[in-house]
Amino acid sequence: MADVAIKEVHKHYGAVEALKGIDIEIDTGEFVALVGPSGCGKTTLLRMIAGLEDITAGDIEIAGRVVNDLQPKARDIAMVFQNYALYPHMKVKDNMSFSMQLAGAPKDEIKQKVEEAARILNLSDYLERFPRELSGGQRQRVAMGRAIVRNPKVFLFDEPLSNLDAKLRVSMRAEIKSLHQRLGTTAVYVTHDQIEAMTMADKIVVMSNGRVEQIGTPLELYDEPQNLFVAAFIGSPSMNLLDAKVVDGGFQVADQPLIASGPTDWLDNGRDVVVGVRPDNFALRETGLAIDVTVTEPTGAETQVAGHIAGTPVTCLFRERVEGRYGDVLKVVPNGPLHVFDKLTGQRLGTAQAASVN
Amino acid sequence: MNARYVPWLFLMPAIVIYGFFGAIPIFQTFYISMTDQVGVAAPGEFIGLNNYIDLLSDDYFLNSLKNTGIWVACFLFVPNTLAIIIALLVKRTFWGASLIKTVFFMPLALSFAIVGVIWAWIYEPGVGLLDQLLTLVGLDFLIVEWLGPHAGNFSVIAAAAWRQVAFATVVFLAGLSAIPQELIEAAKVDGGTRRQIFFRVTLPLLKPATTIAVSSALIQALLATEIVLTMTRGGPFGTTEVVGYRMYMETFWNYKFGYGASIGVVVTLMTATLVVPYVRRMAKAQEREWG
Repeated sequence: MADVAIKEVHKHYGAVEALKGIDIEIDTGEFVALVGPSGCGKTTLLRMIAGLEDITAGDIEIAGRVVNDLQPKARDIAMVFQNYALYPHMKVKDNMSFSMQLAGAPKDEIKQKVEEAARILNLSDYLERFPRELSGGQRQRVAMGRAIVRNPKVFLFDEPLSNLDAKLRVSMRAEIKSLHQRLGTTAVYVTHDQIEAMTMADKIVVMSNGRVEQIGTPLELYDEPQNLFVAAFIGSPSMNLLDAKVVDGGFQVADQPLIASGPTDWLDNGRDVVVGVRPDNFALRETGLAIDVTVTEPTGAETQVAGHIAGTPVTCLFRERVEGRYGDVLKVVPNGPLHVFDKLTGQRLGTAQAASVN
Repeated sequence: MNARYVPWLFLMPAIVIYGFFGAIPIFQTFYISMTDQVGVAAPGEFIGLNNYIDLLSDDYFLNSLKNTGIWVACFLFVPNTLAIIIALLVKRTFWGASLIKTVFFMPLALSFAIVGVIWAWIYEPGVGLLDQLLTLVGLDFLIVEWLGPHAGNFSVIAAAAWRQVAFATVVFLAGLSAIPQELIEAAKVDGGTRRQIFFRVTLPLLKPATTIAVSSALIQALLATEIVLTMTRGGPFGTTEVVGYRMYMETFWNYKFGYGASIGVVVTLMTATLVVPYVRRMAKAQEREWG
């Protein structure tokens, strides 16, 4: 059963249409990431689930109950805010138990719940401190503790890791994920960082410009992006997108040698398409597409080569060591799936296999 | 030059100015309060604490002390409570908000002396604005002799509070805008009613603003003088006399400089014992919460 259902939801700010009809179903216990560039409406949508923003049109249901007109406190949700939103005048234990205090829970129950959450989050030694006396990572954990203590139906996360340094972010990522697996509570997680979404989520909702571009598991989005936006957004470094024409035996990019592929009879010859190739789906050859190298970045295990093919910027990732400086020309052929998109609509047409699979 | 002395060199202008106009007059007042100086022609003789002993049995002074106590009690709660309510109401942006804010802030442009003159007109029996308004809306049974012996002290306090509300509103508005919206939203998600959120989140987070507003109210109440001068001159029958006014009268009307100075010292000590510990305690709390 869907724990959270978002049905044809719209949001207008005056003449501005921030959300243009959103439909998402989130199953019980699922960890769903809302991901997209800033301004795509993901935070607005989360705040609407929380009850901090009105819904212009459509319905939001939590546990089968339409919550459109319910106050946040009546929705059985807990939220972790971007800047933690800890009350600076309360000790850690009071921050965590504030919701229970407001609800008038008995003292010993509060104490027990706070201690339990503190144990899960390694905060037991910090309960008597004020938020200011904690590090960024500890504050983040208090913010999560506040959510856990509630034992809500749904956790809402609003870019909770964006204020942490890179190293801490990676470890908190793992902590949140394991926490979710332990508690099994439905979670909606907003982020602009597709790696966060890929690594943490059971299901990703890619949004842009107030619309849902695609919903799927991380690997579905990676393997079969439904349009150019998702193709470019998911994966790092992002997919290379080359303008091409469908010809006999493959795809023709400008005056470059033919990209040979398996059967393309499902495409009309001469059709203008965009061919997407993941950076790690290239092999070095004597002949092939010519890359005018801009820069090579060796990382030890891999070498990342940035340059241009027929004027289009591309990035290739090789599992071998590659020499190349600015001005050099490397020859490559795709050796993995070729994602074919319609040039006009940007929609996915299908996947062709490159001929030179090794 | 030795680096140890350089900072003092730069501080010297401030120290000299403060010394001349601040520290020295304060110490001088302390000294004068222990003399029987009359007028300014000649210094008085040292009489120790005699002035202070006299104060203890001076009915005029004790009466003014009682009235000042009423000032402090009223000033602490009435203008600050009103100011928080107004600040919460006008905080949100709506059509005409800035006009309304301007109206509320305007009294700040007036000195207490002018406020006294204006409100003396408003309180004028029969023809004053207040009496006319009350008559107009049919509440004329409420009319009393505003500046008479019974209501006088409170009427003067109300006039001064009018200006103090403007000051405190500005302070609380600034304080409200310094509270991150996220905290209020977190409290909503935590299940707070508006009332709970106000008393348990907003009000505690207004501590910096409250510190300013409360200490200002204390100081203004303890020092109030000009408004009494322009409204009632302490009358009728001394019912509106406050310690500041007493000090002024003893010093500049009765020319008892030594005696007046001792009242000044009492006011200073009262201010110090009420305001300083309060500000220190609040500053400590703020340090802990905000850094």
